[in-house]
Amino acid sequence: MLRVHELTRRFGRLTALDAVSFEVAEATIHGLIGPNGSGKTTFFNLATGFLAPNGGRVFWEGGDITGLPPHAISRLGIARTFQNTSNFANLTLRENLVMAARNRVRTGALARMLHLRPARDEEAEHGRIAEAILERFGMAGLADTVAADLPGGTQKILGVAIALATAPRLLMLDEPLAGLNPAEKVQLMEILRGIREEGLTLLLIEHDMKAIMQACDRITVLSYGTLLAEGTPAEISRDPATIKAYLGTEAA
Amino acid sequence: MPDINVMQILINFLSLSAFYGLFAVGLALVFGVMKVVNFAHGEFFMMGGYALWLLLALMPGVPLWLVFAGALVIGPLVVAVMGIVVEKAIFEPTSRDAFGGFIASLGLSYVLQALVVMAFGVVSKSLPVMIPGQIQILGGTLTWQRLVVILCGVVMMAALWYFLARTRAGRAVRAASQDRNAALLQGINLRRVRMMTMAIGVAMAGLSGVLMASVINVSPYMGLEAIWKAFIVVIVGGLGSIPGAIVAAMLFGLIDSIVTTIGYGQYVIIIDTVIMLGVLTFFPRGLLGREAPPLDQGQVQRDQFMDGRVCVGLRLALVTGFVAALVALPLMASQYYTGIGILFLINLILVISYRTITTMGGWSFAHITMLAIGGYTTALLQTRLGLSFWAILPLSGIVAMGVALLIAFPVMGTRQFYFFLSTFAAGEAIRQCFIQFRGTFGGIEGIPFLSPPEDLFGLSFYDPVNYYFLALAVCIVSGALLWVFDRSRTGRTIKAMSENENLSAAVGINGLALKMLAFCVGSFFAGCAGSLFAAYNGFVAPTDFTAQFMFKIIAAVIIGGTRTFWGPVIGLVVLTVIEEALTGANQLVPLFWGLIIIFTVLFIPSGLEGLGRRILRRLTAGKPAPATYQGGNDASRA
Repeated sequence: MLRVHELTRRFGRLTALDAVSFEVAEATIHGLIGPNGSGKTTFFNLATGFLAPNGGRVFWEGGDITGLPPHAISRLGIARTFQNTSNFANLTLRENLVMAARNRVRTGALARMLHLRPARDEEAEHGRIAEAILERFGMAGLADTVAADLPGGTQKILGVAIALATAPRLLMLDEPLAGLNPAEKVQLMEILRGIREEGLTLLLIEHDMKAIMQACDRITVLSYGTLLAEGTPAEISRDPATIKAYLGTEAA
Repeated sequence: MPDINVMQILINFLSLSAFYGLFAVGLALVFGVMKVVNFAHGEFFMMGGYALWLLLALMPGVPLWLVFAGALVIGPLVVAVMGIVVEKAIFEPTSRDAFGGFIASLGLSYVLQALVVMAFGVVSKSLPVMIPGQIQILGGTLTWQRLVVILCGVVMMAALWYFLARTRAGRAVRAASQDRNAALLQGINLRRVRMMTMAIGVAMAGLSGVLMASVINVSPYMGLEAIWKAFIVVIVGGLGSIPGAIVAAMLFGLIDSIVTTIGYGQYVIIIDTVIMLGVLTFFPRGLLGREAPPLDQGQVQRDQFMDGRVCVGLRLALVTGFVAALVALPLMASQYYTGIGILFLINLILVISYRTITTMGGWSFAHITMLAIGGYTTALLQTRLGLSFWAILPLSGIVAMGVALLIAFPVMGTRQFYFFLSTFAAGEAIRQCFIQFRGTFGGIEGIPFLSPPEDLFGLSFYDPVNYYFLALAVCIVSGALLWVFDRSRTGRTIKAMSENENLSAAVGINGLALKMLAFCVGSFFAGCAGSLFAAYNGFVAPTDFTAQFMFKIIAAVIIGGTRTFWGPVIGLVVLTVIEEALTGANQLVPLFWGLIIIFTVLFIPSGLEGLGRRILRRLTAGKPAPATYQGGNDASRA
């Protein structure tokens, strides 16, 4: 579904990502792990057009999307979250999700600019979609709360809800569990599995090994910008290179 | 084509580069540490010039070179002390809101100009040549004066390099300019570093003021004319990059030297701007600008003033009252006030459309240029093609929109300050086009003898009262359209996008297109206003479209507040009242405007509209409004 070929990105003399190739299969939860600084977030930024690669290509359903601007990649059905909490802080949760429903817009530009009936109807429809998504994340009662007033963990989950509101087919989440309490982690992983059951594909960056091992169908390991290993959670947990580069340091 | 004197070009190149370098590096240094573009940098340059002039006046009989040498020391020192005062009074309190600091410095620039006008008069002072004499080198003429400029430039650059690279204090400055928080954690006294940087930065401006005072005449507006060059240099070099500023100073030194020496000096501004736009197209952060800030923007601050709406009935009453007052004005007031009213309505279209531009997070300095383009379009279409005013009115808007689109292409990829500075430069270049291309635009005299609109429904627009109602109609239609745009999904998306550009891109919002849309929509209405303006005046001339006019629009928007549609309207009413109250003491007007701007930025950052809303809410609800202001996250805005 999403396939990268020899993807390379340098920052000055540092090679953050060095000729990495792998593929994310449809309707799976794919984990992207690796020690800090191994190039995971750089990979996200390259795949979603926030950074231009120095070499290599990104393919989406067979088409080359390398170098497209971020919004165009989003329109194709790839949604991402950011490592920090990121939302429209001064809008309510419903407004946040409606804002994120840009990809669902079908009315003409002029109708939207002049606030004509079709645009207003469509926006109301997007408001109902937003409420359905909020319901799913257990935030239905917060629809009229301003995002900045939420506690940190809830804002983090809101980030995932915003990404889901863009009607994606691939959801790329950058450390969605960081900053959540144990109960929230369990709840979010439950929701993510449910999303996968509906046929969406997920690509997760995560440091929580327990969650990754339980949830993922496949895992890719990066270390210092190179691809270290790829396989099922069971294979990865036995992979000597991974244990040395990643789990080894964690066990120490 | 005259003989090209290569040696002369080289000499001019050296002296121009030294001047540009001295002037612009100070600006870049201040930006590097404080992350604020100091718009008043040009006024510190002017102060340097006046320091020399004052010393000359105070010490008659003393040899010129001695006075000059004294001024070279005293001028920068005095200016440095003023810089420290400004840092303490304005930049330190606004350090959490870089854009607020910038706007306050804009106000400061006008305050300083007005003070100098009041103290020393508007007339420019011409100074004697400080060090007469010149030598011939290989066919090129080098005056001693220029040699001093070159030497001072080289010595200052070397001293600055030594300071930044070799001293402890200099390393602290560099550390602070790279990462404020990390520098704080290292135990660097940020306040002292900021004060030191500000002092050095403005002292360099003061020094170049002393050096240039006898080359260009000393006048209250010499800073405004010079700051344009510093902006271009720091934009092309990369904001905050000192090596970048030096490279760009040399680049423009060379270009200007060649252009001037071969006899096209009058086109320098236009040529430089085209080069700047070209550089921005390929290097949106300037030649040596730093990498873009990290992608993951910090959390956007909660806007304390967002909640709390005044009840519908009261709002409706206020709006109805305002419109009724506008309708009643020409029926009750004298012809003089009808004239003021027409200009007020044209300004009203300008401030409302200007606010539409600001919602996308970029403040344009070219709005008055768009007014001028609308005016010139009207003049040309009427005098050359004989078109009817009713056709010209929308066409003027469309032409302004087209020009906005042309400027927007290279400039839109840039952020906050770049956008403001490059629209500032582009606006000045377009004004220069009106002045320089005499054949088309009539030069400094402009295009006279425009006729008012053709009669409509038997109404003659020679009658100011009818013209007033025409302006009011255009104003209401524009206002209604912009009000709807503001509330529309597109308008709200633009505001959300400016709050968090990265997230917007990630959810499929085309930020670039929306910014261009806001800029073009705003410019369209400014162009239409230009058409009304030209037809009312009966002529267009470049002298009508000044930086001061632009300043008035910005001041109205700042004072009123940009958060809602009505803020700029309130701001404009206040400014107009002040302006009328000060009739007869015109020099005071910019002083008052400047002081009010600084006051607003420091004490009521949500503007009068926000203040009024809070007061009304307190009166109606009896609930205390939140009082603390949490400044915006300047990293995400700069």
